[in-house]
Amino acid sequence: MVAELKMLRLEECVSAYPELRFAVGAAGSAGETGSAGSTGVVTASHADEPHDLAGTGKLLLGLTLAHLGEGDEGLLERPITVTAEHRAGARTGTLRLMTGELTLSVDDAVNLVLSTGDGACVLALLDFAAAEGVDLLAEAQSLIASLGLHAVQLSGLERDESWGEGLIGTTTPAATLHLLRALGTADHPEGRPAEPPVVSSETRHRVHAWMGKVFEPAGLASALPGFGPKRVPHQTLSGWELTAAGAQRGYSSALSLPNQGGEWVHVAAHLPPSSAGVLSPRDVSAVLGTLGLTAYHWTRD
Amino acid sequence: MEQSWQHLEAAVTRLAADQPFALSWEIRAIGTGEVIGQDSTRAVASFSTRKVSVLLACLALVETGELSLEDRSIITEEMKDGVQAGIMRSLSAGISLSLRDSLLQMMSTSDNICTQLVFAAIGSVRPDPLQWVNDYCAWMGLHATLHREIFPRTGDLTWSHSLDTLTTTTARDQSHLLEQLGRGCIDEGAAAQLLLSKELCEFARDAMLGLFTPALGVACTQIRFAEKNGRGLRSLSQVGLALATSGAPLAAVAAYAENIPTALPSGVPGRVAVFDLFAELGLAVEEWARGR
Repeated sequence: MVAELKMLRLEECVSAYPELRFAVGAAGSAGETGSAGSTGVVTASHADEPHDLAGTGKLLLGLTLAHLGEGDEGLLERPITVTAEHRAGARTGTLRLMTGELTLSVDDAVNLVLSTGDGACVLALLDFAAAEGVDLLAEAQSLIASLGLHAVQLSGLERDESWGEGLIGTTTPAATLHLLRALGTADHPEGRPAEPPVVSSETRHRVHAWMGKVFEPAGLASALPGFGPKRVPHQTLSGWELTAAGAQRGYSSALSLPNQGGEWVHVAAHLPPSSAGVLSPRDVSAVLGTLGLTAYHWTRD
Repeated sequence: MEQSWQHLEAAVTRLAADQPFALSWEIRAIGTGEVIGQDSTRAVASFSTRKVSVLLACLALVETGELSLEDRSIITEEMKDGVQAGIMRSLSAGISLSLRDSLLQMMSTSDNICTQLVFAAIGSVRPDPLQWVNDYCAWMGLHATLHREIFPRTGDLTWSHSLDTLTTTTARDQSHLLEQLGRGCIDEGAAAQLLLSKELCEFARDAMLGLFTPALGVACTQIRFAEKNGRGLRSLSQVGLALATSGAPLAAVAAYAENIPTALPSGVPGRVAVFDLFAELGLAVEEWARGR
Protein backbone atom coordinates (compact mmCIF):
# COMPACT_ATOMS: atom_id res chain seq x y z
CA MET A 1 0.00 0.00 0.00
CA VAL A 2 1.16 3.52 -0.72
CA ALA A 3 0.38 6.33 1.70
CA GLU A 4 -2.53 8.52 0.69
CA LEU A 5 -2.89 12.26 0.75
CA LYS A 6 -4.91 13.60 3.68
CA MET A 7 -7.20 16.59 3.84
CA LEU A 8 -6.24 18.41 7.04
CA ARG A 9 -6.29 21.80 8.61
CA LEU A 10 -2.90 23.43 9.07
CA GLU A 11 -2.77 22.87 12.82
CA GLU A 12 -3.72 19.20 12.35
CA CYS A 13 -0.53 18.54 10.39
CA VAL A 14 1.43 18.71 13.66
CA SER A 15 -0.32 15.70 15.18
CA ALA A 16 -0.87 13.85 11.89
CA TYR A 17 2.85 13.84 11.12
CA PRO A 18 4.71 14.07 14.43
CA GLU A 19 8.10 13.50 12.81
CA LEU A 20 7.65 16.20 10.17
CA ARG A 21 9.55 19.42 10.84
CA PHE A 22 7.99 22.43 9.24
CA ALA A 23 7.22 26.11 9.39
CA VAL A 24 4.51 28.05 7.58
CA GLY A 25 4.84 31.80 7.43
CA ALA A 26 3.12 34.74 5.87
CA ALA A 27 3.63 38.47 5.69
CA GLY A 28 1.43 40.29 8.16
CA SER A 29 -0.02 37.06 9.52
CA ALA A 30 -2.02 36.96 12.73
CA GLY A 31 0.72 35.00 14.35
CA GLU A 32 3.35 37.61 13.66
CA THR A 33 4.66 39.37 16.74
CA GLY A 34 5.34 42.65 15.01
CA SER A 35 8.71 43.02 16.64
CA ALA A 36 11.88 43.63 14.68
CA GLY A 37 12.71 40.00 15.15
CA SER A 38 9.34 38.79 13.96
CA THR A 39 9.33 35.60 12.01
CA GLY A 40 5.84 35.71 10.48
CA VAL A 41 5.35 32.09 11.53
CA VAL A 42 1.75 30.90 11.35
CA THR A 43 2.24 27.27 12.29
CA ALA A 44 5.37 25.31 13.04
CA SER A 45 6.54 21.98 14.38
CA HIS A 46 10.13 21.20 15.40
CA ALA A 47 11.01 24.20 13.25
CA ASP A 48 14.26 24.95 15.05
CA GLU A 49 15.64 21.42 14.87
CA PRO A 50 18.66 21.24 12.53
CA HIS A 51 18.59 18.92 9.56
CA ASP A 52 20.64 18.14 6.50
CA LEU A 53 20.02 20.60 3.68
CA ALA A 54 18.61 17.54 1.91
CA GLY A 55 17.29 19.27 -1.20
CA THR A 56 17.41 22.95 -0.24
CA GLY A 57 21.15 23.43 -0.73
CA LYS A 58 20.41 24.24 -4.36
CA LEU A 59 18.46 27.33 -3.32
CA LEU A 60 21.51 28.67 -1.49
CA LEU A 61 23.72 27.80 -4.47
CA GLY A 62 21.41 29.59 -6.90
CA LEU A 63 21.04 32.59 -4.61
CA THR A 64 24.82 32.86 -4.21
CA LEU A 65 25.43 32.73 -7.96
CA ALA A 66 22.66 35.25 -8.65
CA HIS A 67 24.16 37.53 -5.97
CA LEU A 68 27.62 37.18 -7.53
CA GLY A 69 26.09 38.04 -10.90
CA GLU A 70 25.16 41.48 -9.59
CA GLY A 71 28.79 42.42 -9.07
CA ASP A 72 30.03 40.77 -12.24
CA GLU A 73 27.87 41.76 -15.18
CA GLY A 74 27.54 38.97 -17.69
CA LEU A 75 28.52 36.23 -15.23
CA LEU A 76 25.20 34.41 -15.56
CA GLU A 77 25.27 34.57 -19.34
CA ARG A 78 28.72 33.00 -19.66
CA PRO A 79 28.83 29.53 -21.26
CA ILE A 80 29.75 26.44 -19.32
CA THR A 81 30.20 22.93 -20.67
CA VAL A 82 28.71 19.87 -19.01
CA THR A 83 31.23 17.10 -19.67
CA ALA A 84 31.27 13.33 -19.39
CA GLU A 85 33.08 13.70 -16.06
CA HIS A 86 30.31 15.91 -14.69
CA ARG A 87 27.68 13.44 -15.86
CA ALA A 88 29.55 10.55 -14.31
CA GLY A 89 29.51 12.28 -10.93
CA ALA A 90 25.84 13.24 -11.09
CA ARG A 91 23.42 11.21 -8.99
CA THR A 92 20.35 13.26 -9.92
CA GLY A 93 18.84 15.06 -12.89
CA THR A 94 18.45 14.16 -16.51
CA LEU A 95 21.64 15.44 -18.15
CA ARG A 96 23.51 12.48 -16.62
CA LEU A 97 21.52 10.25 -18.98
CA MET A 98 22.90 12.07 -22.00
CA THR A 99 26.14 11.34 -23.76
CA GLY A 100 27.65 14.30 -25.57
CA GLU A 101 29.10 17.48 -24.15
CA LEU A 102 26.47 20.15 -23.65
CA THR A 103 27.22 23.86 -23.59
CA LEU A 104 24.75 26.15 -21.88
CA SER A 105 24.77 29.42 -19.95
CA VAL A 106 25.34 29.67 -16.20
CA ASP A 107 21.76 30.94 -15.91
CA ASP A 108 20.40 27.88 -17.74
CA ALA A 109 22.55 25.53 -15.66
CA VAL A 110 21.23 27.01 -12.39
CA ASN A 111 17.74 26.78 -13.86
CA LEU A 112 18.23 23.02 -14.35
CA VAL A 113 19.64 22.67 -10.83
CA LEU A 114 16.59 24.28 -9.22
CA SER A 115 14.06 22.77 -11.62
CA THR A 116 15.36 19.20 -11.90
CA GLY A 117 18.13 18.93 -9.27
CA ASP A 118 20.65 18.35 -12.02
CA GLY A 119 23.89 17.08 -10.49
CA ALA A 120 25.86 17.33 -13.73
CA CYS A 121 25.06 21.04 -13.93
CA VAL A 122 26.09 21.47 -10.29
CA LEU A 123 29.51 19.95 -10.92
CA ALA A 124 29.95 22.07 -14.06
CA LEU A 125 28.99 25.19 -12.08
CA LEU A 126 31.44 24.33 -9.29
CA ASP A 127 34.23 23.89 -11.86
CA PHE A 128 33.23 27.16 -13.49
CA ALA A 129 33.36 29.03 -10.19
CA ALA A 130 36.75 27.54 -9.33
CA ALA A 131 38.11 28.54 -12.74
CA GLU A 132 36.84 32.07 -12.17
CA GLY A 133 38.66 32.16 -8.83
CA VAL A 134 35.41 32.33 -6.87
CA ASP A 135 35.29 30.64 -3.46
CA LEU A 136 31.62 29.64 -3.61
CA LEU A 137 31.54 28.26 -0.08
CA ALA A 138 32.94 31.48 1.39
CA GLU A 139 30.58 33.57 -0.73
CA ALA A 140 27.58 31.52 0.38
CA GLN A 141 28.64 31.70 4.03
CA SER A 142 29.04 35.46 3.79
CA LEU A 143 25.63 35.84 2.16
CA ILE A 144 23.77 33.76 4.76
CA ALA A 145 25.51 35.72 7.53
CA SER A 146 24.32 38.96 5.93
CA LEU A 147 20.80 37.56 5.84
CA GLY A 148 20.96 36.63 9.52
CA LEU A 149 20.53 32.93 8.78
CA HIS A 150 22.51 31.89 11.84
CA ALA A 151 21.00 28.40 11.95
CA VAL A 152 22.45 27.57 8.55
CA GLN A 153 25.81 25.84 8.78
CA LEU A 154 27.60 25.32 5.48
CA SER A 155 30.44 22.83 5.73
CA GLY A 156 31.55 22.25 2.16
CA LEU A 157 30.84 21.80 -1.51
CA GLU A 158 29.86 18.66 -3.36
CA ARG A 159 32.99 17.49 -5.12
CA ASP A 160 33.25 14.11 -6.84
CA GLU A 161 29.54 13.40 -6.86
CA SER A 162 26.50 15.62 -6.77
CA TRP A 163 22.93 15.14 -5.59
CA GLY A 164 21.97 18.41 -7.21
CA GLU A 165 22.83 20.56 -4.21
CA GLY A 166 26.27 22.10 -4.63
CA LEU A 167 26.45 23.12 -0.98
CA ILE A 168 26.68 20.71 1.95
CA GLY A 169 25.51 21.58 5.45
CA THR A 170 22.56 21.89 7.77
CA THR A 171 19.64 24.25 8.23
CA THR A 172 16.31 24.38 10.05
CA PRO A 173 12.77 24.81 8.71
CA ALA A 174 12.67 28.19 10.50
CA ALA A 175 15.84 29.30 8.72
CA THR A 176 14.55 28.16 5.33
CA LEU A 177 11.33 30.03 5.99
CA HIS A 178 13.38 33.10 6.90
CA LEU A 179 15.24 32.75 3.60
CA LEU A 180 12.00 32.41 1.61
CA ARG A 181 10.69 35.56 3.28
CA ALA A 182 13.93 37.39 2.49
CA LEU A 183 13.34 36.46 -1.12
CA GLY A 184 9.76 37.69 -0.64
CA THR A 185 8.28 38.53 -3.98
CA ALA A 186 10.24 39.64 -6.99
CA ASP A 187 9.45 43.25 -6.12
CA HIS A 188 9.52 43.27 -2.35
CA PRO A 189 11.35 41.39 0.39
CA GLU A 190 9.12 40.66 3.38
CA GLY A 191 9.48 41.35 7.07
CA ARG A 192 11.83 44.20 7.93
CA PRO A 193 14.80 43.88 5.60
CA ALA A 194 18.10 45.58 6.17
CA GLU A 195 18.57 48.87 4.29
CA PRO A 196 19.68 48.48 1.60
CA PRO A 197 18.28 44.93 1.28
CA VAL A 198 20.92 42.19 1.18
CA VAL A 199 19.12 40.52 -1.72
CA SER A 200 18.49 42.96 -4.53
CA SER A 201 15.38 43.12 -6.65
CA GLU A 202 17.38 41.77 -9.60
CA THR A 203 18.50 38.73 -7.65
CA ARG A 204 15.00 38.09 -6.32
CA HIS A 205 13.71 38.23 -9.89
CA ARG A 206 16.30 35.65 -10.97
CA VAL A 207 15.59 33.26 -8.11
CA HIS A 208 11.83 33.58 -8.51
CA ALA A 209 12.15 32.84 -12.23
CA TRP A 210 14.11 29.67 -11.44
CA MET A 211 11.69 28.57 -8.70
CA GLY A 212 8.74 29.10 -11.01
CA LYS A 213 9.93 26.53 -13.54
CA VAL A 214 10.33 23.39 -11.44
CA PHE A 215 9.72 20.26 -13.49
CA GLU A 216 7.07 17.93 -12.04
CA PRO A 217 7.80 18.68 -8.36
CA ALA A 218 7.33 15.74 -6.00
CA GLY A 219 7.41 17.47 -2.60
CA LEU A 220 5.27 20.21 -1.05
CA ALA A 221 3.99 21.24 -4.49
CA SER A 222 3.11 17.72 -5.61
CA ALA A 223 -0.58 17.84 -4.68
CA LEU A 224 -1.45 21.46 -5.43
CA PRO A 225 -4.74 21.89 -7.28
CA GLY A 226 -4.58 21.63 -11.04
CA PHE A 227 -4.88 19.21 -13.91
CA GLY A 228 -2.93 18.47 -17.05
CA PRO A 229 -0.14 21.02 -17.31
CA LYS A 230 -2.11 23.57 -15.26
CA ARG A 231 -1.32 24.28 -11.58
CA VAL A 232 -2.21 27.06 -9.19
CA PRO A 233 0.56 29.71 -9.09
CA HIS A 234 3.45 28.65 -6.89
CA GLN A 235 7.20 28.48 -6.57
CA THR A 236 9.19 25.55 -5.29
CA LEU A 237 12.40 23.52 -5.63
CA SER A 238 13.16 20.16 -7.14
CA GLY A 239 13.70 18.01 -4.06
CA TRP A 240 15.10 14.64 -3.06
CA GLU A 241 11.80 12.81 -3.02
CA LEU A 242 12.84 10.47 -5.82
CA THR A 243 16.44 9.95 -4.72
CA ALA A 244 18.30 7.36 -2.72
CA ALA A 245 19.98 10.17 -0.79
CA GLY A 246 16.68 11.07 0.83
CA ALA A 247 16.46 7.70 2.49
CA GLN A 248 19.73 8.48 4.27
CA ARG A 249 19.51 12.20 4.89
CA GLY A 250 15.82 13.07 4.70
CA TYR A 251 13.73 15.19 2.39
CA SER A 252 13.56 18.97 2.52
CA SER A 253 11.11 20.98 0.49
CA ALA A 254 10.17 24.62 0.03
CA LEU A 255 7.00 26.23 -1.32
CA SER A 256 5.73 29.76 -1.83
CA LEU A 257 2.13 30.54 -2.75
CA PRO A 258 0.18 33.78 -3.19
CA ASN A 259 -2.88 34.14 -0.98
CA GLN A 260 -6.12 35.74 -2.15
CA GLY A 261 -4.76 39.19 -1.30
CA GLY A 262 -1.68 38.61 -3.43
CA GLU A 263 0.64 38.27 -0.44
CA TRP A 264 2.92 35.27 -0.39
CA VAL A 265 2.72 32.40 2.05
CA HIS A 266 5.86 30.33 2.49
CA VAL A 267 6.33 26.74 3.66
CA ALA A 268 9.58 25.03 4.63
CA ALA A 269 9.55 21.37 5.62
CA HIS A 270 11.85 18.46 6.34
CA LEU A 271 10.85 14.84 6.62
CA PRO A 272 13.59 12.95 8.48
CA PRO A 273 14.89 9.67 7.04
CA SER A 274 13.13 6.53 8.22
CA SER A 275 10.01 8.40 9.29
CA ALA A 276 7.22 6.06 10.31
CA GLY A 277 5.24 4.67 7.40
CA VAL A 278 7.37 6.37 4.78
CA LEU A 279 8.74 3.64 2.55
CA SER A 280 8.69 4.97 -0.99
CA PRO A 281 8.92 8.28 -2.85
CA ARG A 282 5.14 8.15 -3.19
CA ASP A 283 4.85 8.05 0.61
CA VAL A 284 7.18 11.05 0.93
CA SER A 285 5.06 13.02 -1.50
CA ALA A 286 1.90 12.02 0.38
CA VAL A 287 3.24 13.64 3.57
CA LEU A 288 4.81 16.72 1.99
CA GLY A 289 1.97 17.03 -0.53
CA THR A 290 -0.59 16.99 2.29
CA LEU A 291 1.19 19.90 4.00
CA GLY A 292 1.48 21.81 0.71
CA LEU A 293 -2.19 21.30 -0.15
CA THR A 294 -3.19 22.23 3.39
CA ALA A 295 -1.16 25.45 3.13
CA TYR A 296 -2.85 26.20 -0.19
CA HIS A 297 -6.31 25.80 1.33
CA TRP A 298 -5.23 28.01 4.24
CA THR A 299 -4.37 30.76 1.72
CA ARG A 300 -7.95 30.53 0.42
CA ASP A 301 -9.58 30.88 3.87
CA MET B 1 -3.40 -19.93 -16.10
CA GLU B 2 -1.16 -20.09 -13.07
CA GLN B 3 -2.52 -19.05 -9.71
CA SER B 4 -0.35 -15.97 -9.22
CA TRP B 5 -1.43 -14.66 -12.64
CA GLN B 6 -5.07 -15.03 -11.58
CA HIS B 7 -4.26 -13.22 -8.36
CA LEU B 8 -2.75 -10.37 -10.37
CA GLU B 9 -5.87 -10.11 -12.50
CA ALA B 10 -8.07 -10.06 -9.42
CA ALA B 11 -5.84 -7.50 -7.70
CA VAL B 12 -5.81 -5.06 -10.62
CA THR B 13 -9.53 -5.52 -11.25
CA ARG B 14 -10.10 -4.66 -7.59
CA LEU B 15 -7.85 -1.59 -7.87
CA ALA B 16 -9.70 -0.37 -10.95
CA ALA B 17 -13.14 -0.82 -9.41
CA ASP B 18 -14.89 2.08 -7.73
CA GLN B 19 -12.42 4.69 -8.94
CA PRO B 20 -13.93 8.05 -9.85
CA PHE B 21 -12.47 7.69 -13.35
CA ALA B 22 -12.40 5.08 -16.10
CA LEU B 23 -9.39 2.78 -16.30
CA SER B 24 -8.48 0.64 -19.28
CA TRP B 25 -5.52 -1.64 -18.80
CA GLU B 26 -3.67 -4.66 -20.10
CA ILE B 27 -0.78 -6.75 -18.78
CA ARG B 28 1.12 -9.32 -20.84
CA ALA B 29 3.62 -11.76 -19.42
CA ILE B 30 6.71 -11.69 -21.61
CA GLY B 31 7.00 -14.69 -23.87
CA THR B 32 4.20 -16.82 -22.35
CA GLY B 33 1.19 -15.55 -24.28
CA GLU B 34 -0.69 -14.78 -21.06
CA VAL B 35 -2.76 -11.59 -21.25
CA ILE B 36 -5.13 -9.97 -18.78
CA GLY B 37 -6.92 -6.65 -18.99
CA GLN B 38 -10.09 -4.67 -18.88
CA ASP B 39 -11.55 -2.33 -21.51
CA SER B 40 -8.18 -2.65 -23.21
CA THR B 41 -9.52 -1.95 -26.69
CA ARG B 42 -11.10 1.38 -25.73
CA ALA B 43 -9.67 4.18 -27.88
CA VAL B 44 -7.89 6.74 -25.70
CA ALA B 45 -5.71 9.77 -26.23
CA SER B 46 -2.17 8.48 -26.02
CA PHE B 47 -0.45 11.74 -25.11
CA SER B 48 3.21 11.00 -24.42
CA THR B 49 2.89 7.23 -24.18
CA ARG B 50 2.98 7.47 -28.00
CA LYS B 51 6.69 8.26 -27.67
CA VAL B 52 7.53 4.59 -27.19
CA SER B 53 6.45 3.98 -30.78
CA VAL B 54 8.10 7.20 -31.97
CA LEU B 55 11.34 6.05 -30.29
CA LEU B 56 11.21 2.61 -31.91
CA ALA B 57 10.22 3.98 -35.35
CA CYS B 58 13.20 6.34 -35.22
CA LEU B 59 15.56 3.59 -34.07
CA ALA B 60 14.42 1.47 -37.02
CA LEU B 61 16.02 4.12 -39.24
CA VAL B 62 19.18 3.95 -37.14
CA GLU B 63 19.18 0.21 -37.70
CA THR B 64 19.07 0.71 -41.48
CA GLY B 65 21.97 3.15 -41.23
CA GLU B 66 19.92 6.04 -42.58
CA LEU B 67 20.17 7.88 -39.26
CA SER B 68 22.98 7.91 -36.71
CA LEU B 69 22.54 8.43 -33.00
CA GLU B 70 25.42 10.89 -33.28
CA ASP B 71 23.61 13.18 -35.78
CA ARG B 72 23.31 16.64 -34.24
CA SER B 73 20.56 19.27 -34.29
CA ILE B 74 20.21 22.74 -32.79
CA ILE B 75 17.26 23.93 -30.71
CA THR B 76 15.72 27.11 -32.12
CA GLU B 77 13.48 29.66 -30.43
CA GLU B 78 10.59 28.74 -32.74
CA MET B 79 10.56 25.18 -31.40
CA LYS B 80 9.42 26.44 -27.99
CA ASP B 81 6.07 27.60 -29.34
CA GLY B 82 3.21 25.71 -27.70
CA VAL B 83 5.51 23.31 -25.81
CA GLN B 84 4.26 22.40 -22.33
CA ALA B 85 6.40 19.36 -21.55
CA GLY B 86 10.08 18.98 -20.87
CA ILE B 87 13.04 21.03 -19.73
CA MET B 88 14.48 22.48 -22.94
CA ARG B 89 11.72 25.12 -23.30
CA SER B 90 13.16 26.91 -20.25
CA LEU B 91 16.68 27.05 -21.64
CA SER B 92 18.24 29.42 -24.15
CA ALA B 93 17.94 28.59 -27.85
CA GLY B 94 21.08 27.44 -29.64
CA ILE B 95 21.76 24.30 -27.60
CA SER B 96 23.07 21.48 -29.80
CA LEU B 97 21.93 17.91 -29.13
CA SER B 98 22.75 14.56 -30.68
CA LEU B 99 19.88 12.36 -31.84
CA ARG B 100 20.79 9.98 -29.02
CA ASP B 101 20.36 12.75 -26.45
CA SER B 102 17.16 14.03 -28.07
CA LEU B 103 15.69 10.53 -27.81
CA LEU B 104 16.80 10.22 -24.18
CA GLN B 105 15.24 13.57 -23.21
CA MET B 106 12.08 12.76 -25.15
CA MET B 107 11.69 9.68 -22.98
CA SER B 108 13.03 11.05 -19.65
CA THR B 109 11.24 14.39 -19.36
CA SER B 110 8.85 13.90 -22.29
CA ASP B 111 10.55 16.93 -23.81
CA ASN B 112 8.53 18.10 -26.79
CA ILE B 113 11.34 20.22 -28.20
CA CYS B 114 13.33 16.99 -28.39
CA THR B 115 10.27 15.27 -29.89
CA GLN B 116 10.37 17.87 -32.66
CA LEU B 117 14.08 17.17 -33.18
CA VAL B 118 13.35 13.44 -33.43
CA PHE B 119 10.60 14.00 -36.01
CA ALA B 120 12.92 16.36 -37.90
CA ALA B 121 15.56 13.62 -37.98
CA ILE B 122 13.01 11.11 -39.32
CA GLY B 123 11.90 13.76 -41.81
CA SER B 124 15.46 14.12 -43.06
CA VAL B 125 15.27 10.62 -44.53
CA ARG B 126 11.52 10.08 -45.00
CA PRO B 127 9.18 12.48 -46.84
CA ASP B 128 6.46 12.38 -44.17
CA PRO B 129 7.81 11.57 -40.69
CA LEU B 130 4.35 11.23 -39.12
CA GLN B 131 3.36 8.71 -41.80
CA TRP B 132 6.58 6.79 -41.13
CA VAL B 133 5.60 6.42 -37.49
CA ASN B 134 2.06 5.42 -38.46
CA ASP B 135 3.38 2.87 -40.95
CA TYR B 136 5.73 1.47 -38.32
CA CYS B 137 2.84 1.10 -35.85
CA ALA B 138 0.76 -0.71 -38.48
CA TRP B 139 3.65 -3.07 -39.26
CA MET B 140 4.00 -3.86 -35.57
CA GLY B 141 0.31 -4.72 -35.23
CA LEU B 142 -0.82 -1.54 -33.45
CA HIS B 143 -3.97 -1.41 -35.51
CA ALA B 144 -5.86 0.97 -33.21
CA THR B 145 -3.08 3.56 -32.98
CA LEU B 146 -3.17 6.76 -35.05
CA HIS B 147 -0.46 9.41 -34.72
CA ARG B 148 -2.03 12.71 -35.69
CA GLU B 149 0.44 15.35 -34.54
CA ILE B 150 4.15 15.95 -33.89
CA PHE B 151 3.22 17.01 -30.37
CA PRO B 152 -0.15 17.99 -28.84
CA ARG B 153 -0.66 21.61 -27.82
CA THR B 154 -2.17 20.71 -24.48
CA GLY B 155 -2.17 24.35 -23.38
CA ASP B 156 -4.87 25.01 -25.98
CA LEU B 157 -7.09 22.12 -24.88
CA THR B 158 -10.03 22.20 -22.49
CA TRP B 159 -10.82 19.35 -20.08
CA SER B 160 -13.66 18.17 -22.35
CA HIS B 161 -11.63 18.25 -25.57
CA SER B 162 -12.38 15.98 -28.51
CA LEU B 163 -10.05 13.15 -29.57
CA ASP B 164 -10.39 14.08 -33.24
CA THR B 165 -7.05 15.83 -33.66
CA LEU B 166 -5.06 13.89 -31.08
CA THR B 167 -3.02 10.73 -31.33
CA THR B 168 -5.14 7.83 -30.15
CA THR B 169 -4.26 4.31 -29.09
CA THR B 170 -5.42 1.50 -26.79
CA ALA B 171 -3.97 -0.24 -23.77
CA ARG B 172 -3.85 -3.40 -25.92
CA ASP B 173 -1.71 -1.78 -28.62
CA GLN B 174 0.75 -0.36 -26.13
CA SER B 175 1.15 -3.55 -24.10
CA HIS B 176 1.58 -5.45 -27.37
CA LEU B 177 4.40 -3.13 -28.45
CA LEU B 178 6.13 -3.32 -25.07
CA GLU B 179 5.84 -7.10 -25.03
CA GLN B 180 7.65 -7.14 -28.39
CA LEU B 181 10.28 -4.77 -27.00
CA GLY B 182 10.79 -7.00 -23.97
CA ARG B 183 11.36 -10.02 -26.19
CA GLY B 184 13.63 -7.94 -28.44
CA CYS B 185 15.90 -7.23 -25.49
CA ILE B 186 16.68 -10.91 -25.10
CA ASP B 187 16.32 -12.32 -28.58
CA GLU B 188 17.78 -11.07 -31.89
CA GLY B 189 14.92 -12.63 -33.85
CA ALA B 190 12.32 -10.79 -31.81
CA ALA B 191 14.35 -7.59 -32.20
CA ALA B 192 14.37 -8.07 -35.96
CA GLN B 193 10.57 -8.24 -35.94
CA LEU B 194 10.70 -4.69 -34.55
CA LEU B 195 13.15 -3.81 -37.38
CA LEU B 196 15.78 -3.32 -34.68
CA SER B 197 18.81 -5.06 -33.25
CA LYS B 198 18.91 -6.44 -29.73
CA GLU B 199 21.31 -3.62 -28.88
CA LEU B 200 18.83 -0.97 -30.06
CA CYS B 201 16.02 -2.67 -28.12
CA GLU B 202 18.22 -2.42 -25.03
CA PHE B 203 18.84 1.25 -25.82
CA ALA B 204 15.06 1.83 -25.92
CA ARG B 205 14.56 -0.06 -22.66
CA ASP B 206 17.33 1.91 -20.96
CA ALA B 207 15.90 5.20 -22.22
CA MET B 208 12.64 4.24 -20.54
CA LEU B 209 14.45 3.40 -17.31
CA GLY B 210 15.47 7.06 -17.13
CA LEU B 211 11.94 8.43 -16.79
CA PHE B 212 12.13 11.46 -14.49
CA THR B 213 8.71 10.83 -12.96
CA PRO B 214 8.28 7.07 -12.56
CA ALA B 215 4.83 5.93 -11.47
CA LEU B 216 4.51 2.15 -11.93
CA GLY B 217 7.88 1.47 -10.33
CA VAL B 218 7.90 4.31 -7.81
CA ALA B 219 7.16 2.09 -4.80
CA CYS B 220 8.73 -1.17 -6.05
CA THR B 221 11.86 -2.53 -4.41
CA GLN B 222 12.28 -5.94 -6.05
CA ILE B 223 11.52 -5.21 -9.69
CA ARG B 224 12.06 -2.16 -11.90
CA PHE B 225 9.93 -0.60 -14.60
CA ALA B 226 11.19 0.85 -17.87
CA GLU B 227 8.26 3.19 -18.29
CA LYS B 228 6.71 6.16 -20.05
CA ASN B 229 4.01 8.48 -18.85
CA GLY B 230 1.26 10.34 -20.67
CA ARG B 231 -0.45 13.46 -19.38
CA GLY B 232 -3.53 15.01 -20.90
CA LEU B 233 -6.11 17.39 -19.50
CA ARG B 234 -8.50 14.72 -18.22
CA SER B 235 -6.29 11.69 -18.70
CA LEU B 236 -3.15 10.18 -17.27
CA SER B 237 -1.48 7.07 -18.57
CA GLN B 238 1.51 4.92 -17.79
CA VAL B 239 3.02 2.14 -19.86
CA GLY B 240 5.99 0.08 -18.81
CA LEU B 241 8.10 -3.01 -19.05
CA ALA B 242 8.54 -4.76 -15.70
CA LEU B 243 12.10 -6.01 -15.27
CA ALA B 244 13.71 -8.39 -12.80
CA THR B 245 16.74 -7.04 -10.96
CA SER B 246 18.78 -9.05 -13.46
CA GLY B 247 17.20 -6.98 -16.24
CA ALA B 248 15.15 -9.88 -17.55
CA PRO B 249 11.78 -8.64 -18.91
CA LEU B 250 8.81 -9.93 -16.94
CA ALA B 251 5.66 -8.21 -18.14
CA ALA B 252 4.36 -5.41 -20.32
CA VAL B 253 1.90 -3.08 -18.62
CA ALA B 254 -0.34 -0.37 -20.07
CA ALA B 255 -2.86 1.65 -18.07
CA TYR B 256 -5.01 4.57 -19.23
CA ALA B 257 -7.08 6.61 -16.78
CA GLU B 258 -9.72 8.73 -18.48
CA ASN B 259 -12.20 11.40 -17.44
CA ILE B 260 -10.27 12.10 -14.26
CA PRO B 261 -12.12 14.74 -12.23
CA THR B 262 -10.03 17.81 -11.50
CA ALA B 263 -10.68 17.17 -7.80
CA LEU B 264 -12.32 14.46 -5.72
CA PRO B 265 -15.22 15.41 -3.45
CA SER B 266 -12.72 15.52 -0.59
CA GLY B 267 -10.70 18.22 -2.34
CA VAL B 268 -7.79 15.94 -3.25
CA PRO B 269 -6.72 16.61 -6.86
CA GLY B 270 -7.96 13.80 -9.09
CA ARG B 271 -4.52 13.21 -10.55
CA VAL B 272 -3.17 12.27 -7.10
CA ALA B 273 -5.63 9.36 -6.91
CA VAL B 274 -4.46 8.17 -10.33
CA PHE B 275 -0.78 8.25 -9.38
CA ASP B 276 -1.63 6.28 -6.23
CA LEU B 277 -3.40 3.73 -8.43
CA PHE B 278 -0.42 3.45 -10.80
CA ALA B 279 1.90 2.85 -7.82
CA GLU B 280 -0.43 0.14 -6.51
CA LEU B 281 -0.57 -1.41 -9.97
CA GLY B 282 3.24 -1.59 -10.01
CA LEU B 283 3.22 -3.22 -6.58
CA ALA B 284 0.67 -5.78 -7.77
CA VAL B 285 2.95 -6.71 -10.67
CA GLU B 286 5.86 -6.96 -8.24
CA GLU B 287 3.83 -9.30 -6.03
CA TRP B 288 3.05 -11.48 -9.06
CA ALA B 289 6.72 -11.51 -10.08
CA ARG B 290 7.73 -12.68 -6.61
CA GLY B 291 5.25 -15.54 -6.74
CA ARG B 292 6.24 -16.88 -10.14
